[in-house]
Amino acid sequence: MLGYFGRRLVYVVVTLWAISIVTFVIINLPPGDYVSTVIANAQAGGVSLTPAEITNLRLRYGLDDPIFVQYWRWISAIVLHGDFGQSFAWNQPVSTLIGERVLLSAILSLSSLLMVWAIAFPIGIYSAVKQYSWGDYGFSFLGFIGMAIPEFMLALILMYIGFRYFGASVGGLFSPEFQDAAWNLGKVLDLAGHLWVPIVVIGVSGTAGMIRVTRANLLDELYRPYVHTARAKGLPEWKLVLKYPVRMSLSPFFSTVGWLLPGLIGGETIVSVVMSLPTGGPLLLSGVMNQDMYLVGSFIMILSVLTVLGTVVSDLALAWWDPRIRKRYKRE
Amino acid sequence: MFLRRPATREVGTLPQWRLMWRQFRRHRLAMAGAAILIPVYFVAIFAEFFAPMSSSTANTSMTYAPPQVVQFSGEHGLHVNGYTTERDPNTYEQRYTEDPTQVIKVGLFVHGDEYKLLGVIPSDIHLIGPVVKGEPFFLLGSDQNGRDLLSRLIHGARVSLSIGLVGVLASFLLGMLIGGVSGYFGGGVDNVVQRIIEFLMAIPTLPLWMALSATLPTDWGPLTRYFAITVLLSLIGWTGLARDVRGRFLSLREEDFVTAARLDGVGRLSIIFRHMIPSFASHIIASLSLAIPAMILGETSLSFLGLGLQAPAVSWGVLLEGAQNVRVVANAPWLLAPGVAVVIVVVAMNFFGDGLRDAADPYGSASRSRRRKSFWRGRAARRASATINTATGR
Amino acid sequence: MTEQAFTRRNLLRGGGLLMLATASGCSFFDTSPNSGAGGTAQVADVSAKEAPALAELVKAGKLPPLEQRLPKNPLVITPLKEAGRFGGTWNSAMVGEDDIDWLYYTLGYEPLVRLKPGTNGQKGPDDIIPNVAEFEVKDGGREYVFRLREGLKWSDGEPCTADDMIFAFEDVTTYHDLHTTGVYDLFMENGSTDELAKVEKVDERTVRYVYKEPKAGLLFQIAVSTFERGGASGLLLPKHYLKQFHKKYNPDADKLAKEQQLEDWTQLFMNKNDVPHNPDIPTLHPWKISNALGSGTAVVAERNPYYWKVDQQGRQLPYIDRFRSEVLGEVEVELLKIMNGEIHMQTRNFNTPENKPLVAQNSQKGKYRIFDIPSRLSNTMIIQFNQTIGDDDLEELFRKKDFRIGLSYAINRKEIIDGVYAGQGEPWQAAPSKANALYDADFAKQHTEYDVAKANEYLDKAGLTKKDADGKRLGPDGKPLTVTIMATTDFPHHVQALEFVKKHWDAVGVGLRVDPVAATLYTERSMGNNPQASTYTCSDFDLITGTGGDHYYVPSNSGSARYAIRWAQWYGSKGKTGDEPPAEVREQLDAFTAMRNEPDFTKALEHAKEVVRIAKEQFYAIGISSYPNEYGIVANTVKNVPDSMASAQVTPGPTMPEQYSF
Repeated sequence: MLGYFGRRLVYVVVTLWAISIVTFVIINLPPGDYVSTVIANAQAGGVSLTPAEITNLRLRYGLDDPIFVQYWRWISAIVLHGDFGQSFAWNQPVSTLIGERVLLSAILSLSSLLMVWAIAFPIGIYSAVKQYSWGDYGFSFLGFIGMAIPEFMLALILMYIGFRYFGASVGGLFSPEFQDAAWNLGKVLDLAGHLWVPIVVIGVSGTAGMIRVTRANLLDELYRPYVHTARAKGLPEWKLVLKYPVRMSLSPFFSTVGWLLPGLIGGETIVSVVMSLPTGGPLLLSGVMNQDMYLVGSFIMILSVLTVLGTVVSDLALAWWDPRIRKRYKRE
Repeated sequence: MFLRRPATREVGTLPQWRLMWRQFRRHRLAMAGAAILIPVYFVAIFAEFFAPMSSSTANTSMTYAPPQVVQFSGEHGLHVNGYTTERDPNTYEQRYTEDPTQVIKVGLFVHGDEYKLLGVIPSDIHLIGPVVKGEPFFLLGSDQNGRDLLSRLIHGARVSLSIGLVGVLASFLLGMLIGGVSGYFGGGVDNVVQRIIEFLMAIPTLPLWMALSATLPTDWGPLTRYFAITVLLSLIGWTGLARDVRGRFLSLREEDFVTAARLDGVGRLSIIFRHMIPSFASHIIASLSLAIPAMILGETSLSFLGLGLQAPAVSWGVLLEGAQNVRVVANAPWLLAPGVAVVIVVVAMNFFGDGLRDAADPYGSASRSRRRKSFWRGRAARRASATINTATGR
Repeated sequence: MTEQAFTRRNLLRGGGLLMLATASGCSFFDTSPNSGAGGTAQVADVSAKEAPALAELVKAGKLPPLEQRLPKNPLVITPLKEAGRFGGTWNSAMVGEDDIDWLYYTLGYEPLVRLKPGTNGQKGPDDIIPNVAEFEVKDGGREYVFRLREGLKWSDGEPCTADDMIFAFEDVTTYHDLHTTGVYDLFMENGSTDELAKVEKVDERTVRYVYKEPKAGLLFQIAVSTFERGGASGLLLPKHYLKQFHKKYNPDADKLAKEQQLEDWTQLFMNKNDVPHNPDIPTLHPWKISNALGSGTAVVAERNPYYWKVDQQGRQLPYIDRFRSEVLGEVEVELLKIMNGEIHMQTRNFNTPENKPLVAQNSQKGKYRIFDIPSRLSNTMIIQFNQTIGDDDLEELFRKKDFRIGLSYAINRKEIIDGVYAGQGEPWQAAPSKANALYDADFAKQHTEYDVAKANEYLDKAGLTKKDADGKRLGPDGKPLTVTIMATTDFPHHVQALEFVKKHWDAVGVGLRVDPVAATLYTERSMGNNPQASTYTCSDFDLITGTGGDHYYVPSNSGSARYAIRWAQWYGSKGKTGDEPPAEVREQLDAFTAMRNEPDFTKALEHAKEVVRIAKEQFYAIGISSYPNEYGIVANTVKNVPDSMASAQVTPGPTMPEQYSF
């Protein structure tokens, strides 16, 4: 098992290195750079920069060096000093920018995942056990609709409903009166009042998918010989279902645990953009749009590391949960 | 009994497609899905005929006009009522009041905007429309420029419904080929291919889209460009399918019928194409049919982020992007209709694909549930990764 | 209070959010939202000379008394309507972290001299009044004397003196390491690239700028905040704070930079000399940033205890305690927040003509009123054909005025105005607006009538006589002529309008392909001289402007005179690169140079007329419609905000936000 993970580690490092190169090339692929963004913004504001000012900006950001020099500067700082570089647009270290967004992204990811689990699990079991019943059809239908609604549309409509019918403060995290207030229960409530929309929006599609997975997995287990054996031995039906097949069908929950890690800094881009939530997603998006090179590059690198780590975590969690998988690792 | 297994019926020697059809027919939701999709695709193909107007015809004195209701009376026949409008000079708001005295006659097979059906047959006949060309006729209301939303919805369907097919097709070919090679040969080849796939799966798509859309030639229209990007992305997106195919190859390699063929001295290629691929192609096709709705949704999301198709191209994503503001939700909610269309089509496609998948395995439901599992598991992972992808730009 | 708790509960129920409800459900009823300070002024004695919070600090001995904080001659401001009360928080919003101008023009509009309220500076010196400094212009515009207020203090209590101005000039704005590629031309003798103006310290609080030739536009540039904005360095900088980051004063500055993982001291210095991002830098602004841009979700600024302005009763400004601007990701959220009454005063981003009905409908619910701001733009969309594209055939065609006139006649502007611009505006060319001193009705209206016959006539005259079977005119290459027009996705209305134009041009046999691209790509392609044609909005004509100004009227700017990038390069490089323009354009460029260098307002006007006359004659761009008024909103509770603001670049700065009050 150790050997197995050792080998994986080597692959991980190689993969990450390749990603770093490809990422950097991709960011530099479109014509222009961050300075073009500065010029475009200035122009939109009715200001025109002179050629001298433009060259000056390029020099300041080190954008006139050849691309491999820029790459080396970037990657060596990361590897040697753990320095992820500066964001041009924010004029701040990338690590600070991402760090500030971790908490909210984490809250969002975690609570929407909890919601998904809490709703999907019972419904999924019900749907499998009562396969082809009206209830099953009904939930399937609802589930598919949940998967089919474009997230941004749902977010905007819910936000408008919140405004129109509840007079709720929209977007962001706090109402103005709580923004600078010290933490108290009222502030927590206020936060909850702001967070429910994104959580529901993110959760809806996830829930639908998870219901289907649970149902399918459970169906797979329900007709196994061990179930017949247990039934033959006279175990009550509900106990039997919960004890064996359900346990086995829980695997997908563990294989998604790892996705939480990148979610911690990513957040849900679309929902966050629509609702102005300060998670990592919009940061990356605006970085991409502005060609904020180091921000995008480092963000993606951190994300890739977390994704890879997440996969490992998932595998470990799965091995812990499912003895059969544990055995397979041992064999390898 | 509490756990009821759907009964399997004895079948004789019917051709595979007949068996599949039988199985498919039994899936009620799938039939419903097909019943929706077939007319929708039909309308999309003959969009110019079914749409009352062209996608750019505008009645600029009627921006944000609410939907009209088709009425019938002995006096006027089929008709809609016109609007009287006034514009508030301070707030710029245009107000509409229905005016029963203005009767706009509506007819079937009327003469309207000229077009070329399927790009060849010139015509100006429209299924439904105002008898007098140019009179306001907005069954789903009009948009910010006074264009008929219904017409744009129908025209947009063509792009939105076809764009997924292209991408899926490209993924399909590549996935089959590379996954097959990897799975059949195994060992070192397999290892290398798997590493490459792992790497490709980690490439961030969001910046890639940005980069590609910026580097494509300027004289390509937005539509050509979008097709190009879709194909390029699916060139990277084949990885999931390749893994699927590889897994099947690995397990099929050990099956008796493959061993038998090999012992009979059948060539490698022949084993792959004559024996192995047919045995799981239907399954692959079925799961592909489920990838199409994901692409339709993807199109809308990318348009929203400003990375997908862009006006003046007309697609559901573009229409929704234009409707993506408070102004519309508050004052012109009918412009969200493309969203409803997306939901209906995506749900129908999912049902359809579900049924197709079940039908792809007409012989038994034991193996069906196994396939469902592997399908859903794959789908869950894809779904999760898609979520993460859009979330994080990977 | 209970009502509010009740709605929140419903809200949660409506969302079906079990988890959060269980997390905090038990205490739903015994929690009342903190009443907070948002928006409401503290009830304070109107006769108090300073804000209660400051008075307390003084009492506690933590702050010197008011008289010691104010200059000897504080600037006395007459509030617009009434003397205000101290207190409250001004809530506003920015869309995106690069929407910094909102900060510069609200809490940061404190240049040496400022625009008179209600003006935009285009009337010359009459529009400009003293601010941080009193000023004097001598020797026909060759000498400018700035005298700082006696006893003026930075927000940290340190004195602000002539040394700070000299530091800004010698060690920052013209310091070679900080400006390796050249110095802003206002600090240079006219026409020179290396001869600096003479800047001398007269006494402890007086500095003079001396030029050999008249320097028109210096005061104007100062007054429109050119040097306060990001990237520009400033004319008056806190030397006592900044010198620690400057290599000249601190030999270890490079080491300091390395410690903060920066390349060298210049980066560190620029990072520190950046008001929105650096909460530590002392300022002269009414509010001093306490939570900088980039940390948290909002920029917060607290009152500056050393602010140097008072009202007529000698009460220290600003009235409002705190300024905050939430950094939002989407305009739609800003709009919803306005409609929901969460924002007190706002003039940016949300205020499109399309949004006006919605903003107006909700003014009662959101408890705000709407005020007008005439636009600084003179046209909603202009189409510029690239006359220096480098492709011989196309270049020849695009340079034919008849070609452009024909296409202009082909456009049904009324239809576009109705369909895209909510019926607001009238057909207009790329010409000065009605309010402009250079307004010319003939120019504005030339070739704007919709006349297909005339269009065809002019297109025929331009040599496009051959047509194919479908009636499409054949281009110089013998193929049906189709022009690709690039538009930025920042202006969705351009793409909509171009669809109408496409229809109109189709009718006269000219094809149009729209190429919508993101703003950065748009800029990059423009500067690369790639596009055949492109659209943009058109700014009004500025009599007083920078080197690359008025580029919609004269090819002065190689980044944005998109009808003739290479002519502009020629002008910008003084003939070293680019293409030499035709004689008439050279004449126009000369007139433009003369206009910019002329300190006498009436004489400058004559040159400007010449520039505009040639612009009209050249007909560089096809315009669509005049630009409707913009607008802003202000909460009913906020006083002293005018009902109409001038269309200056720095709006709302000139309306003096420090005298706004709750």
